[in-house]
Amino acid sequence: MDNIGIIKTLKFKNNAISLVVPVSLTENVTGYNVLAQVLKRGTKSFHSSSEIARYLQDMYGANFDIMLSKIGNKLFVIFYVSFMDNRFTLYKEDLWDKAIHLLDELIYHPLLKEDDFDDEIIAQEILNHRLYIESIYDDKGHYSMNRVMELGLNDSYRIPEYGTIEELDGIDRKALIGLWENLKEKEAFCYASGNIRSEEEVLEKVSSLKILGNSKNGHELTSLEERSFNRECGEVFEQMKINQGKMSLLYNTNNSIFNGDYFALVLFNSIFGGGAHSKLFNEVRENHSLAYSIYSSFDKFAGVLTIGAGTDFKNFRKARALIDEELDKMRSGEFSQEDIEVARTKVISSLNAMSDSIFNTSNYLIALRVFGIDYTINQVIEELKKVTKERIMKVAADLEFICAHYLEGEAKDGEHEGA
Amino acid sequence: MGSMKELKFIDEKIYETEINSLKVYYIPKKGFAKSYAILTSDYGSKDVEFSIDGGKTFKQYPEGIAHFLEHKVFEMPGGGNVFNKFTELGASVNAFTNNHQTSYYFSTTAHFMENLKLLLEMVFTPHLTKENVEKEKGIIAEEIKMYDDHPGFRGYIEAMKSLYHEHPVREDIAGSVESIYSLTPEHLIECYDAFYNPRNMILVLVGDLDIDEVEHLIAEQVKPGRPLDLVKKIYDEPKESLKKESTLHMDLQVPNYIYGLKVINQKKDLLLETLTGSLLMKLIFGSTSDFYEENIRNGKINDSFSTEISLDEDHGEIFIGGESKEPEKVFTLIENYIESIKSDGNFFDELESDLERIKKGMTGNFVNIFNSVDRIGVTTTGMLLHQEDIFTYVEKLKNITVDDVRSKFMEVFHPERSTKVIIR
Repeated sequence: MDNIGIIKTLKFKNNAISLVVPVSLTENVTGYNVLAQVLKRGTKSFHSSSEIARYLQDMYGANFDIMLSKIGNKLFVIFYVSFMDNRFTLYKEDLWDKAIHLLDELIYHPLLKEDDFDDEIIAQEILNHRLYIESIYDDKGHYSMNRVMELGLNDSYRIPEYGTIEELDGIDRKALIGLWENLKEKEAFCYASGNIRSEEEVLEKVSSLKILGNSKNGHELTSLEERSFNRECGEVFEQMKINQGKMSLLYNTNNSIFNGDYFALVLFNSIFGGGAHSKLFNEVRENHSLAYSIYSSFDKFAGVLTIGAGTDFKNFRKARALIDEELDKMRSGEFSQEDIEVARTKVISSLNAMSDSIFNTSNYLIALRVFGIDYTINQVIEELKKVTKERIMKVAADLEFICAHYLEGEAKDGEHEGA
Repeated sequence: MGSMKELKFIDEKIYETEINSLKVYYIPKKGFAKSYAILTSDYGSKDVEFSIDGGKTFKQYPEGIAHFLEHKVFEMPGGGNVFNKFTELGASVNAFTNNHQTSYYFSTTAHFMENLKLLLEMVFTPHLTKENVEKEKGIIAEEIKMYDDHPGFRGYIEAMKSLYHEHPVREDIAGSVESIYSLTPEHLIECYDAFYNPRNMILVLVGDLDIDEVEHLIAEQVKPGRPLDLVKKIYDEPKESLKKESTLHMDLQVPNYIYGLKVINQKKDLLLETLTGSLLMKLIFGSTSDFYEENIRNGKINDSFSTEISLDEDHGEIFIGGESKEPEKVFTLIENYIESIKSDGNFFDELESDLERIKKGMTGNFVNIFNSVDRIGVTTTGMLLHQEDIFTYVEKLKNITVDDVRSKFMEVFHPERSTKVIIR
């Protein structure tokens, strides 16, 4: 069963199960968001979210959530539960069965399918999700970043992981039941981690979740659909009642984990904008005091890179010019071997540190499996060690600007706004 | 290394020693890839007025100075970006300032000793010039503006300003654009000298370390601090809140609400009071409470609803908050519920089994801290600064009764100590 992985470790007080169901971004992202919330509202045995919370408290404060994460062309529906190992429970109780029971209840016995399920709960969660989407508008950096994706992309990767109001309008009980029926039949991936004495025993327990026996649906695992960029949109300015301007830039990397030079891209991003050691941080923040935060990041499965910065509206042009200048320097090789080694050390260090978090490790490995990538963490590290300056210059040259979104304050009609 | 205490039931140990007047704590974590160090000055945003002559004369500094100093501690003589140096050594370094502390920390998977040496050098070698202080004002002004656009943060500041009359916790940790522009290098040097004294600091180390080597390094790097004559100003804060209601306008799509309460803490055992307060809040408003279950069911609140309690030696707050299109109605629900508990003499008696279950959950959450070197470092530091004994956490929690929780309820819930903030 190559969709189930085991990580044996004794260094945590907890064990954990991470179960991931990847769905396509074209399949109704918004609906899956609402579905996840509805599932958490209760099951056949746990009649409300409070009953689930009581069950978790009784498992010595176990943690459970259903999370949604956009990775490449997929929306990962992540069921995650972590619970105390029986080396530490008061009466040596083993909590694996309880954890699996909870997952089974949520996946197979949601109140959604019961006739007595309250229509009101569905209506509430649709409304709650509407509030959630609207509240993103109130988080300006997040909002601007989503806008630049919407503006610069024509394909499904433009959809934010929480979905859209338009899609939400089409969601009702029937649609949710349809999505749930669909979810249960999908291929799922799982990691069980922690103090695993007998691998077979845990595999057997986890495999009792029927979803892990679903066979591969051929259409599920298309690796990378071509990105379709909207190169016409250029620079878009939007006004809001805000104190600090937000600038979001979108680039096509032309490199991803599926094709081109992924490993050089990792080091390029680290040197260029991947932290307090980076060119952007030092130039825009430290040398010119234009921003408090500035960073670049990319999705290795999607071939898309973004830069986000919070800066005074009047400094948009200056900051933008500095960004372009730094990118040109990356392209022409104006960075040192030391810059490369710093970035390499940093990236390898964070890959090594991943083993200190069950959640991060299992989700990193699951993502690779979902997309059919065979690398182990050690192989990734070995490949990063081989990256040269020329390769980094090449991925810098491949980087193609697509569009920019600027969020600025409203024109003031003599009205005095705060500082 | 000095003395050692054990947390037997979870198989953890803490070593404690003092090196050149700096208190050092070490929590070994075998098998973890990362190790972690956090160096903290007992100096936070609220310490804007203090005396360095044992209380004879006091001087007041601009708000936001502790946080400003935190930024400047990253400057080192000779220039160069210290972040790069840590990164070269495989570490991530950062810092934070809150009301009562300033902490500098790094985590790394390699070169722990070199990183620790760099951290100690960085913190104990100030480099404040007119130019680098001026440069930082622009950066911090952008940081302040960033938070000014954050509804949750604005609401929190407004709630603190409404609860407190004069205690400086009512001010933004970063100060204001005006206050930071009034700062001078001399202000910063005076505050540095007063608070960045090893006697006023603690160092917590977590990981798989050779502790003898570490001790040796600290002894070399840290010079004993001068005797301290530091007295922080004590504020005479009334029990009542300053302002009962306020509304901020930020053009939000979804309004945020905060119900705040000022908690007057007269008892000495901060850990016990915090645990009792947390149990109380979980019992009456937590995700397993009747209030939560009923109002989630009828759609009057959603899962953004949450509560928080934070107690310090000289101030304390409870917050109940969330997002809602009709925040006034949520306030009414909260207030009516509090009144109904007051008039129901048996309310807490029926919650005996809930209390035990919540304790079980909290015990698990406490144990969970020990799954992450970062969380161990931050939590241990916070508890040490508050003179809270981590070794008594579980025992104290276990001994709290329904009667204790009932008295806590009667003690804290007074309408005249409350405030209601809506951010639209």
